[in-house]
Amino acid sequence: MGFLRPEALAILPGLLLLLLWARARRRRRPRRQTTYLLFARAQQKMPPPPRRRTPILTELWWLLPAVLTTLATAGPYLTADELAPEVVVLVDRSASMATRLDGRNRIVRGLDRLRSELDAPLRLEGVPELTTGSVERASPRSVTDGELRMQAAVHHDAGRRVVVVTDRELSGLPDEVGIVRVGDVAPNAGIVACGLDVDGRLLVRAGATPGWSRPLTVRVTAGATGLASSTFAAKDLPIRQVFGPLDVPSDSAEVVVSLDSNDDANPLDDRVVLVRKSASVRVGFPPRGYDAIYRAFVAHPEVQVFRGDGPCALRIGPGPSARHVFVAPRIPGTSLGSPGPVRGPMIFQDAPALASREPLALPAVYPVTENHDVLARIGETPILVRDGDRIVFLQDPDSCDWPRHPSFPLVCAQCLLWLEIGSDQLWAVRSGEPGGAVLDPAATVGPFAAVTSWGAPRAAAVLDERTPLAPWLLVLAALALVAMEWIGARRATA
Amino acid sequence: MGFHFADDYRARLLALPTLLRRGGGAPEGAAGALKGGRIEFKDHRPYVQGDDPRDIDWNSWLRLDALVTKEYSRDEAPEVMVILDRSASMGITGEGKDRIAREIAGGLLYAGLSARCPVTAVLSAEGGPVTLGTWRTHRKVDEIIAMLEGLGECDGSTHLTGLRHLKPVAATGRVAFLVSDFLVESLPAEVAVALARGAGTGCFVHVVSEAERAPSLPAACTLVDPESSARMFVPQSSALVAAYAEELASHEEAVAALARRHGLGAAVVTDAKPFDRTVQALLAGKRSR
Repeated sequence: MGFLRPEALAILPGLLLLLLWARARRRRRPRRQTTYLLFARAQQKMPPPPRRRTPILTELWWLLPAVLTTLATAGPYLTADELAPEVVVLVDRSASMATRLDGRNRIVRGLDRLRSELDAPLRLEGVPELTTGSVERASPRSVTDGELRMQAAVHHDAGRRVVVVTDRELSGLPDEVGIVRVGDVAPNAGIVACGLDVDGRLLVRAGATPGWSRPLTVRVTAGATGLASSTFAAKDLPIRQVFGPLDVPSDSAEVVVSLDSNDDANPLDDRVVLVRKSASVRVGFPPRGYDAIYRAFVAHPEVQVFRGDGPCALRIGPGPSARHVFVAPRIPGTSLGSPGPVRGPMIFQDAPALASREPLALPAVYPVTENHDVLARIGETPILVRDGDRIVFLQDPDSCDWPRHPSFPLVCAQCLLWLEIGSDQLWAVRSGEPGGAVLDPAATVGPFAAVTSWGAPRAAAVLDERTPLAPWLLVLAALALVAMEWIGARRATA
Repeated sequence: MGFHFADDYRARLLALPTLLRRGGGAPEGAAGALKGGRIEFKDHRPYVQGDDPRDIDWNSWLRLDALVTKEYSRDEAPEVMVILDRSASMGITGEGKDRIAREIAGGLLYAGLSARCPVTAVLSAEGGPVTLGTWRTHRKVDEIIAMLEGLGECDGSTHLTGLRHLKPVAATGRVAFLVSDFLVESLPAEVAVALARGAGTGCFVHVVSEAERAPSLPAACTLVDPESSARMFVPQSSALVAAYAEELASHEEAVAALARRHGLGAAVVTDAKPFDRTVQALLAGKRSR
């Protein structure tokens, strides 16, 4: 049992003090008694009463309605942790969720709608900022549909009930997963994409909601230095403009692209910061083969893929590099047994978000005899292992359906993190912010930028299945009042 | 705010003679048969202080060695006197005992008028009885009602002893009703003597409200005497209320005993019944409880 507003319980000591005060006042208040003479005679004939204080317990009864009402105000509830499964509310905190309407962003509106639909107390844990309704609380990062689906699937597979609060149209979720979709037609303009190439040319794409009637001004600055500025009429929207080549000062680490949109609904898509980095992640492949892994790395926004020889941070297959990814059975110096089929959901040792909800069917998985670190397994069968600076796929991705699964490109990207290979792109978008070079149109929500971000932000809130007790307490208070009235009338007639 | 009788009080008052005829009530019923007068010998009774020496039956004294007074029936209507106690112990205006006393007094006065008796309303006061009015015809019922409604608040102490100065009883006799709660330190025997003197008789109408019979007190409280303003703290009211009930019964018995000792009637009236039923029972000679 708990209370939603425990501060209301502070009234209870006050009620007790009020009772004591009323009791003392009642005892001292003179009662005009016409037969005082007979009472005085009776008391004179009585033995002196023992010095015993009248117990207050009997008088506490008169406090019952007030106590019950106070308890109801505190919002008590009963929890049934053993019976009710945990409910996880996945809140999409991407930049588009910061879009305001009537002063409340989509996160707050979505949670309010969730509360009304659940018709139960909603207690958000670990993310108190979600309850504040401040537009700044939305993350500037973006989340893809696949990531949201995956997060929902992870919790669903763990036996929890899942509700997703988002502004996008999600499909492919299990039937048991609930969706609270929040949308609006708030007037907004924002940078859809922007990127800076090695020659200093800046591509800016911006858009606005239908009916936008004000001009937009794009400004490009590096520190205090203005690099470019241009104003576009509303009829010219959407914008696809190339600036430059810009003369970026050599000591500038950042280039800021901002949009003057005059207090539109979402301020998070009005500014993009491009950060100078030293180099990109180069991943080398053999001249042919490894097609599934190749396609997965091509889709990675921070990876430069090439086939053939050359310096690289990661080599797929044999070749000159410090770190490798191999595919069984092409592992030099490793003895493998006979492959066997494996079927079941994939489990990741240290990346549970990548877990598959639907079972995978791998026709040929090779057993390993050496003592490798198991990164992923199906049941007890390892399917992905690590040996120092080498990661080994214990099946051939080109010969199975795993690459069609949404988790496969994420697993490939995760290999960079497992091998501790950092991003070294020349001009990188600062973590999660919209960037033109890597824009995935499918991930765009409304007119706003949404870039595939590999570190998917997640805000999870636990919703207990609770039974509110306040209505019952109010009923009890009313019954207590009726009972007190009845007892009082009964005493009066007696 | 003044006192007003209930809307149907006057109508019930006018219907009271019919009710009395059915029940056999008469003004002297509560006090027994009216004595006094010299028209016709009726009975003997023991001598009591204040009896006219001319009524002593000396032959009986010689024969029985005891003083016996002769009583006579009369054919002239006696005076009906209603004496009201207006001390503070009679309660708040319009409530409880005050209302009972006013209603009963009005009923007794009108019953007397309907029996063709002259009636007198008297107030017991510290210096002696104060006559509020005398009426001889039942057509004065509205005056009686106005007089009773015009009585002020009950205040001050109980002054029954002043009633010893009641005017002498006429030869036609007198039936006096003392309407009071008799809450005095010692019951006034001299008042009983005054009422029973000569050709007079009377009745103690002891007023006790139902609220006094079953008082509802908090567990602990402070009681105040409305007459003397004395205070008394009651730490445990339950035990005291039980002792009080015995004390009240004892008080009622003491009042009745005093009346009996002086050949007077006694009745306890409460607000449990309508006033006309109470008056009927009172005048029929029955105890009204």
